[in-house]
Amino acid sequence: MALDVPLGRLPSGTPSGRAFARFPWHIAFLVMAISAIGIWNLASASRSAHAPVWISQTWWMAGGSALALAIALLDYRTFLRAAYVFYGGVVVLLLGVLVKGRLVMGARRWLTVGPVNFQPSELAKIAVLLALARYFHYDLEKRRDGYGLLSLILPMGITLLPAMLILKEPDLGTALIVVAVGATMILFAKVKWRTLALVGCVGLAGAAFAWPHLKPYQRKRVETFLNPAGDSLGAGYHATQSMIAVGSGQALGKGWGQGTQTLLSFLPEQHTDFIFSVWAEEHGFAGCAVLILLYFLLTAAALTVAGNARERFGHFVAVGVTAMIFWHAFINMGMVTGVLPVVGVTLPLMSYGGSSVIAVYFGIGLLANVGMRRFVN
Amino acid sequence: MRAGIDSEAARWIAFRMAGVAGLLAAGLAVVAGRAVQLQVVQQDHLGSMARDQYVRPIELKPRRGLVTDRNGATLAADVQAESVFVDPKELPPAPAREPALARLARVLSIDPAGLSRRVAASRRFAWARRRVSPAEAAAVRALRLPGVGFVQEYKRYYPRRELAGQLLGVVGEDGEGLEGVELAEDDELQGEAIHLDSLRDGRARQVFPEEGGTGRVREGARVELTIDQGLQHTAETALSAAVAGAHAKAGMAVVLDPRTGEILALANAPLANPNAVRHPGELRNRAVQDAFEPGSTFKVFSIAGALEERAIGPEDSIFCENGAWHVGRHTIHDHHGLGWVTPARILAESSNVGAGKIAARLGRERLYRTYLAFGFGAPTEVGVQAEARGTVNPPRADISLATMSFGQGVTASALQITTAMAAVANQGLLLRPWLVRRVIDPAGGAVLAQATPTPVRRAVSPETARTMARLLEGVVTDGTGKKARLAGWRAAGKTGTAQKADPLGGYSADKRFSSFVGFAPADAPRVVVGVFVDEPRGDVYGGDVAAPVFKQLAEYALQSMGVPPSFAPAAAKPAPASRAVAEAEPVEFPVVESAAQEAERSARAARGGIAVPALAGLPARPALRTLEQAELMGELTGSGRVVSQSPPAGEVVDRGTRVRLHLAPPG
Repeated sequence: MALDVPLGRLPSGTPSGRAFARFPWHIAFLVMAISAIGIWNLASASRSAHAPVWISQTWWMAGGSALALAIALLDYRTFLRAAYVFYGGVVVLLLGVLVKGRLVMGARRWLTVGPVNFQPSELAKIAVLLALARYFHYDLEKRRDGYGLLSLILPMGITLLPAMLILKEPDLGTALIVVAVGATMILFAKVKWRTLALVGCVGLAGAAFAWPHLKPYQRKRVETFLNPAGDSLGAGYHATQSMIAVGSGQALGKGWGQGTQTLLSFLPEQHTDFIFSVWAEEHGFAGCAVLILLYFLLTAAALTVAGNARERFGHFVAVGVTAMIFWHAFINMGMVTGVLPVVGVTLPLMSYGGSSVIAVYFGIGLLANVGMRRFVN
Repeated sequence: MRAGIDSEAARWIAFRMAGVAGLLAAGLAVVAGRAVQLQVVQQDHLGSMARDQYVRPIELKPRRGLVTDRNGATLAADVQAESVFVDPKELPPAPAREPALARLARVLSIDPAGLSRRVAASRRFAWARRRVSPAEAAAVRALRLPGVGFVQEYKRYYPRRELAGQLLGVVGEDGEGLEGVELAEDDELQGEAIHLDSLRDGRARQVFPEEGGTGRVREGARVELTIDQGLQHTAETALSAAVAGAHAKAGMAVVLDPRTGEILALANAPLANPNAVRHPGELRNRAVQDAFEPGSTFKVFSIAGALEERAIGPEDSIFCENGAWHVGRHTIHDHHGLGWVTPARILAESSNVGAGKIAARLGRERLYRTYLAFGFGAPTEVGVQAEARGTVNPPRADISLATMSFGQGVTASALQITTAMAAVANQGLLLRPWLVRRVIDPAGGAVLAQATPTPVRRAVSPETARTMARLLEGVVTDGTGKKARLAGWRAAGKTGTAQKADPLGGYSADKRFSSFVGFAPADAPRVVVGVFVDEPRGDVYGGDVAAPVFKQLAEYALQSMGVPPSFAPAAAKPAPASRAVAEAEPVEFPVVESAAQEAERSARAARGGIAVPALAGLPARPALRTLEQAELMGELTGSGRVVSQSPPAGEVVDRGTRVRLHLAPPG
C-alpha cells in the first residue's frame, strides 16, 4: 500500500543512479508524443499569417525538457524546503506585473526581466501546487478527520492570493486554473462533507457577487457561451468560428495544412488558445480522439505516480501536476468545442507560448522526480 | 504519533484516487463526446457553414457584344474605363477623413454627402464613381489618398452619338440592357458569364480563386441590325430639320424595305445621345411605343378594304355631298366640296365625305376586319419593349364608321402605319417588321441567329394592292402630296393631318398630327417611308410638313440602293398648273360636328362675314378656343398672353381666315 513510509519524515536520499533506473519512461514518451504533435500542428497553424512560431516552440520545448530533466534529478526535498520561498517570490512577481507589467491588449500579464519576457502567472500554478503540497505534508497529520472551515483558511488563502492577483491583470483563464489546481489538491486532502457543502454555497454566492465586478468582456463571454449564435460576428465570433472549424473537420479531417479556417485566418489566437481547433479541423475526429487519449494516458500516468508516491509531499505534488494538466486540457478543449465558455487557457504542449511550455515541463519534471522515488516493495 | 496508515485512511485514499481517475475520464469523455457531436453528427451543417463563409462566388462578365448596322458599322461598343472605389478601412482616420472624401468627391464631381454615406455604410468597399474618364482617373491618382482604388470595367460607348439613340437604348451600371436594342437583345449581347469561386479570409480579403470555374465562356455576341446608318443619319437630319422648321414638338420617321419587312431607318426627333442621357424620357422610342390618331392616312386602308371586298370599284363614282354630309345628328365636312368623283380623287383630295361614304358601303364589320388584317390593334412584334398596339374597336354607330374611315377614333403607332403601307407596296402581303438581321459569335464568327422575312397574313389581294398603288400615285402627282414627288422615281403615298384629341374633350383647335406615308417606285416599290410630325406650327399639313421629308428619304434610299429611275429627272412632269385643288387639306374646323354646332355656324354664315373677336389679354388656349367658336384659325407666336392680333378685333373677315396672335409673358 502506498504511503506506507513514515510521513513527516523524509527518507534518506537514494543514490541517483538507482532512482534514474526508475525514471518514468512512459510519461516521457507521452510528453514527447504530445510535444511532437504540437510542433507539427503549429507548423500548419502558422502557415497563414504568423511567423514560423513552431521553430521557437521547438526551442522552448528543448529548454523545457532540459529543465524537466534537471528537476527530475534534484532531490525533491529541495522543493519541499524551497516551496514557500518560491511561492513568496512568485507573489512578488505577480505584484510586480501589476505595477510594471507590459500592457498588451488591455491586460498586464507580461513581465520583462532583462532579455526575457514571461508571464509570472504561469509560474504561479507551480508555486501554488508546491506550497500546498508542503502545507499538507506537515499539516495533514493533524487533520485525520478531514478539514473543517477554519482549518481550510490557510490552504484556501495560499490558493486565492495569487489567483486574485492574476484575476487583477486580468487573466481569468489562468486564475481559474490556479483555483482549480488548488481546489483539487484541497479536496484530495479530505474535506468534511459539511464544510464542502458550505463552501459550495459560499462559492455560488461569491460567483453571484463577483458577476457585476467582472470585466464586461468576461461577462460577455459567459453570456455568449449560453447563446453563441446570438452574436456570431461579435462576441460569439470565437465560439462560432471554433465550432465551425472543429465540425468541418468531420471524421477524418481536411489534412495537414488544408484547414480553411486556419489558412484563411477566421480564428484569431489560432496558434495559442484555439490551437485545438486547428488540429480538429485538419485531422478530424480521429485526430481528436488520439489527442484526447494521449492526455488521458498522461493524466492517468501522473495520477499513478501520485498513488505510488513514497511520502505525502510527492503525493500532493503529483496530484497538483495531474490537476494542472487535466484542467488545462479539459477547459481548453471544452472551450474550443463549445462545451465551456471562452476563457484564455492554453492547451498543454500544443499551444504556442514559452511561459506555458516551461510551466508544463516544470510540472513534468516534478512528476518525474516523484515517480523516480516511488514506493517499491 | 506513529505515522502509519490505518484501513480507514487506506480506503479513503483508494476512494479519492478512483474518484479523481473517474473525474479525469469523465472530463475528457465530455470533450470526446462533444467532438463526436460536432464532427460526426453536425458535420454537414458545420462543414457547409465553413464553406459558406470562405467561398465567395464571383461572376466574371465577358465583354458586351457590339451592335452594328447592316453593313457592319459599329453603333455600340464596350470600351475600357476605370471605376473608383473606396476601402473605408484604409482611409485616413476621423479628423482627416471628411476633407479627404470631399476632395475625392470634388475631383469626381459627385455629391460629397452621398459619398460619405456610402463609405459609412460599408466595411471594406464602397463605389465612389464608376466608369470615370481617363482625365478623372489621373486626377484621383494625383490626390494620392490611401484607401482609394481602381477597378477596370467596361463602359458602353456609342461612337455615333445621337445616331439611332432611342433605338439602341442604354445599359445600366452593371452592363445590363435597360432600353431599346440593348434590352431586347440583352441575352445575346451579354454573353455567358464565368462563375468562379474565390476564397475569402477572416478579414474579408479576397485570397485566390479555387481552380477551375464552372460555365463556359461565351463572349457577348455581335448584333447586326437591319438599320443602314447612312439612311438613319439622313432620316434623323431631315426629320430634325422638319421638326425644327415647323416648331413641332416631336417627329418620327420609319423606313422599311417592303419586300422583306426590314427596318432600314427608325428615327425619333428630338434626338437623344445614349452616351449622356439627360432624362430617361428622351430615350422613348415613340415611333414604336406611342400610338396616336393617324388621320387621313387611314383612308388608304379603308378604301383598300372596300376595293378588296368589291364594295366599290376603282372607277365607281361617289357623291361627296359638296363638302357636308349629314350622318345622323352629325355632319362631316370637306373643305372643298366635291360632287361625283372616283376613289382616286377622294384619295387625292383627301375627302372625308368620300371616305365615309365608301366605308358605309363596306360596312362596320368589314371595315373593322380590314383594319385588323393590316395589323392594326395588334403589336407588330418588332422586338422593342413596351410596343404600342393601338386601339381599333368595331364601330358601334354610323358616325364612328365614317370617322374611323379617315383615321379618327382609332390609334396606331408610326411603325404600324408604315408597316401596313408596306403591305400595300408588297402586293398586299403584310410582313412582320424586324430590326435584328443577324447575331454573330465574335469568337468564331459563327452566325448564332439569322432573321428572315416573316409573312403575317395577306391583307389584300395583289390586284387590290396594285390598284391602290395607282390611286396613291395620284395623290403625289396631283393631290395633296405633291411635295412628295421624287426626282426620277414614281412615288405613291398619302398625306394625313389629324386634329389631336384634346385632353379636355373633343378635338384640339390648333394641335395637329401631320404625316406622310408612301413608297417608291410606285410600280415596283423598294422603299416605304412614313414621316410623322407632332404638333407642327404654321404649315400644319402633312403634305407640307411631312411630304418633303419623305422625298429626301426615299430619294436617298433609292439612290443608295441603285434603283434605276422611273424617268429621267429632267423630264419630270412639271407640277400641273394651279387647280382648284388645295395644296392643303381642309381642317380649319372640326371635320365632324354635332347638329347644334352646325346650325349655329350656318346661321352665322348667313349673316355674311365674321367679326374677329377681341383677344387681347387672353392666354393661348382660351384665345384659340374663342377663335374656334368664331370659325377662325389661330396662329400663335410667342408665349404668355395675347398682346396683339392681326386682323384687329371687329374686322369682318371670311370664315376660316387666319388670325395671327402675338403673345408675350404678362408683366
